[in-house]
Amino acid sequence: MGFTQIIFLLASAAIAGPILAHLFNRAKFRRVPFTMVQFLQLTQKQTQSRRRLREFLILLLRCTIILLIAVLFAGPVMKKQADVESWRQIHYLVLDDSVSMLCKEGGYDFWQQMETAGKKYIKNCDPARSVFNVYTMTGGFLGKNMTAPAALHTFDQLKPGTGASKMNGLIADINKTIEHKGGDDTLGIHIVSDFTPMFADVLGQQSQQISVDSITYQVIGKDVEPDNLAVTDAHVVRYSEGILTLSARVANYGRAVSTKLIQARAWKHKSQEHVIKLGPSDSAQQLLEVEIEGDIEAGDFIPVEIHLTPDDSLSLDNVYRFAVVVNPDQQKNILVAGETESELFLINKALESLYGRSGDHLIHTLTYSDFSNSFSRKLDMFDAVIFASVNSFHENKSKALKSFIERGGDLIFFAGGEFDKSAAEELFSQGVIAACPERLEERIAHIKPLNNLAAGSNLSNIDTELLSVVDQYKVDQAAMWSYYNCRYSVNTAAFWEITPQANLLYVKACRNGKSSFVNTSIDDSFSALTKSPVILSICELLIGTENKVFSFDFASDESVVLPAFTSEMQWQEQSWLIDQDDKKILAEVSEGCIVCPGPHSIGWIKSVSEPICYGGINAVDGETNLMQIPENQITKLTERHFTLNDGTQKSSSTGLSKSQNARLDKYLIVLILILIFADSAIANRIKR
Amino acid sequence: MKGRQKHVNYLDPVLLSRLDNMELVARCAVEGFFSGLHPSPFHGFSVEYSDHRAYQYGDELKYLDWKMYGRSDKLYIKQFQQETNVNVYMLLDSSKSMSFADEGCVSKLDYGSYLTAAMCYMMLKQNDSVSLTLFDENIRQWIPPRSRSTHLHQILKVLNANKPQGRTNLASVLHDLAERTNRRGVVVLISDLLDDVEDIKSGLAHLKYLKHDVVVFHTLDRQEINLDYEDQIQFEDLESGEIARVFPKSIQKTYRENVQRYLDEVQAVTGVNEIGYVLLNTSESLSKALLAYLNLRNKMR
Repeated sequence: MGFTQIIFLLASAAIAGPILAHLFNRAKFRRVPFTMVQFLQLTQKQTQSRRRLREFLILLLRCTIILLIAVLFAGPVMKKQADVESWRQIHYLVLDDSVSMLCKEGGYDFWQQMETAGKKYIKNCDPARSVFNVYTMTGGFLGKNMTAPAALHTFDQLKPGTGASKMNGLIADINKTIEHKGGDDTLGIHIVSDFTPMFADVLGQQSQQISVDSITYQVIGKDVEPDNLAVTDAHVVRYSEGILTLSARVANYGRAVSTKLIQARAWKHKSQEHVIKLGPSDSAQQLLEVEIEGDIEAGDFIPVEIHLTPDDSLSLDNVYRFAVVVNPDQQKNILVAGETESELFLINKALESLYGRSGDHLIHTLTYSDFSNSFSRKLDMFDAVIFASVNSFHENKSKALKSFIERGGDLIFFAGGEFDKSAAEELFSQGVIAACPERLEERIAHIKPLNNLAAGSNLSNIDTELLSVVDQYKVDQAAMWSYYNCRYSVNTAAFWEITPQANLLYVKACRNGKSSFVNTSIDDSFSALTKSPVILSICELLIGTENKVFSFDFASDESVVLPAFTSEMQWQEQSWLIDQDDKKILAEVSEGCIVCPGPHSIGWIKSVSEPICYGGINAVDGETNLMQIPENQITKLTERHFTLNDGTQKSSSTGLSKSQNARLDKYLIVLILILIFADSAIANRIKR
Repeated sequence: MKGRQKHVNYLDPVLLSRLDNMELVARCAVEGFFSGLHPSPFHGFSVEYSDHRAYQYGDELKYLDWKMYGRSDKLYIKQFQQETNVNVYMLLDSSKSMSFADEGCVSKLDYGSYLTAAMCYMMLKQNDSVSLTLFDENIRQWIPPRSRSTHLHQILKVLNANKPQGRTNLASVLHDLAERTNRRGVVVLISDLLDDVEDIKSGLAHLKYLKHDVVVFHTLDRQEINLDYEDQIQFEDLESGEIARVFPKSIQKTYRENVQRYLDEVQAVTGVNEIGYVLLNTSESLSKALLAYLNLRNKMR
């Protein structure tokens, strides 16, 4: 038997307390003169020996309880000699197959080192007793319960994973093994990794602490200083007069100061090269301009790549890919979203008639329940989104909507009969909705003529000319049967007053886009405006006529979502995509989108059928970061998440012990409780 | 009922203990006792005629003057002049154990003294000769029997000066007394009888052999009978100095059984010898003892 915290055994000295109390603090007797003492003595003789025995028993019990508590705190473990015949060594070999392991610095190859270290670990184990589980950080288990030769054979399948590192599967499997392993079996974990910050993040996300018999690790690439600049993000700033302006974020993910040239390439067109110099962990934003005029047709996907040259230790993140779709014909994708199909019908027909007249805009309708899946991704596919009401659907979506407006999208909220106060408050506080509807007024009021053009004119996104055109439709002759009294901020322009507390239209600009609130319903219940050309003109006014540019770039572990533009494709249930390695992938077509769940190879992915849609697949941000966490932090991390069964923490490459430690805590606790009950029973008996 | 209540109060030992004068104690006790009883049955036991009085309900028919009835057709009772007709030997245990008193109670010795005083007063009023013996291991003080009324003062003086001391040795005392009494009479023993039962038996048997009428007032404190103490107590024997450390509650039941067994033994001893036995609790009224004595005295008639 051993103890994990032997210092607590000193607490057993506390038994001196009850002993001293027993010896010195004898019961105090009141002295009373009496006459018939011989009768007392007669009786006393019968009880005294019993009483002494009880007192001694109590002393013994109390000393034992104190001793047991001290032992309990000292963490007793019973070292059992393992059954020579049947015990097994269960090994979990954790290999880091993330993209950072593709680093090559000088003659040092991270991947090769990892393979060598993993194989060496397997060979050093006792082949007769060892069982191997080989786990890769991005790909999961390569094999379970394998013999040493089989485990070595799995290294042939080992290839860099493009997904994000994760350990959930490992932890779950270890727990399962702990539950089912034999009493004498030992369990050890050996980690081979470059221990980048991403590894620390993944390990830090584990909230569970696991008891194992040994935890060892090997750090790959600790003696080298790799040079690695990475393009971590890029997006279109604008497309104007044939020039595509791009913004790229570059970070130094290496361990040394690095200088590179950065250039954007779109088809055969290239931007100017810019020099970029960054120290370790530094990052910078770089604007790049590519002239692409003449090569673009409506809805064409242009693959754009941002290149860093020359190559460095990890070339995978030197190129950032994203596809750009420019809409030079002012065609807009408009989404009308509402609670039910019938609710959407009226506004949809009105918009179709409006845009059927003015151009080939694509109008889609979605109910809220359909829209809520992949909400942010779907938002990106539209230029304008018209919501038939403000209701609970909008709760917790304000950030995505805000981002949509900032990127240049137009949001139009109609005042529906269904109204969710908390959702409206949230949208208003985030600056997503132009005005916050507060109270429904159900009485007839006439809209007043437009007289605050000056207020609206300071909004750059509002076409004042169009506004006056809309006013020509004699909006002021319309009668409102219901309307909301609204609260709005100073940045909001309000048009067509109904009462001093309510206007028909509120518009608020937000960076490149704008948000509007139309104080009438789309189903005639507030007024007959929806049926008149007025509301169509208002929508036209709000949606505007500017060009839109979309970009399609994805992390390798994300779902790829590409638009299914043609009506033929929209009717299909599946569509083929081709990835970087010319591998065909069957993707689902759903709600006007081609959706293909990740992970994907880093590079390009494109649709097979015309028009060809591209999507750029890039490494998960952070996975190529080669900064290494210090070794003492690695030890702390492993100690935080893995405890050794004998209670001691050690991270080394030593083999597993043959003996096993069994915790005795629960037996001690039960025994202490029983003794406490016995003590109180005997003490109570004495008093009686 | 008021009168009855009054006499009961007079006989309360705690009340009597507040009176400094022993004579007053005796008077209060006896007069209080008689005021609550029907007067005639205890009015004199003499043979010489003194007076007539009207018959009252409860009077014995043997004292009716039939001749008077024949003459006057009225019922009269003959009253007789009192005269000394018996020697009463009062034995009061004055050993150390008699000094025991529970909180709020009089000691056994005080109780015995009040009882002795009251009985002496009563007896002398009836012209009986009264002797007083104070004893512990031996007879400490002996007052020979006299019937003079002034004899009471001597007895009360001795009782006042009496202090508890020594151990009890009843057998020796009773044998000694038996030797000193030359005329048969009534022996009244007031003691806690904390002695060997066989010794008590032999002593009482000796008195009985001499044709004495013996009545034993076994005086005990309520705590001696019940042992109704709380907490843990070191009991120290008043006579022997022996010590017993006990939790009274834990042994109470066994103690009471032992005491009861002892009382039964004592009662058996007295029963064998046809001795009057009255167990007196010091918290009880004196009337029980006085009534027991008068019953005995009546039987002697």
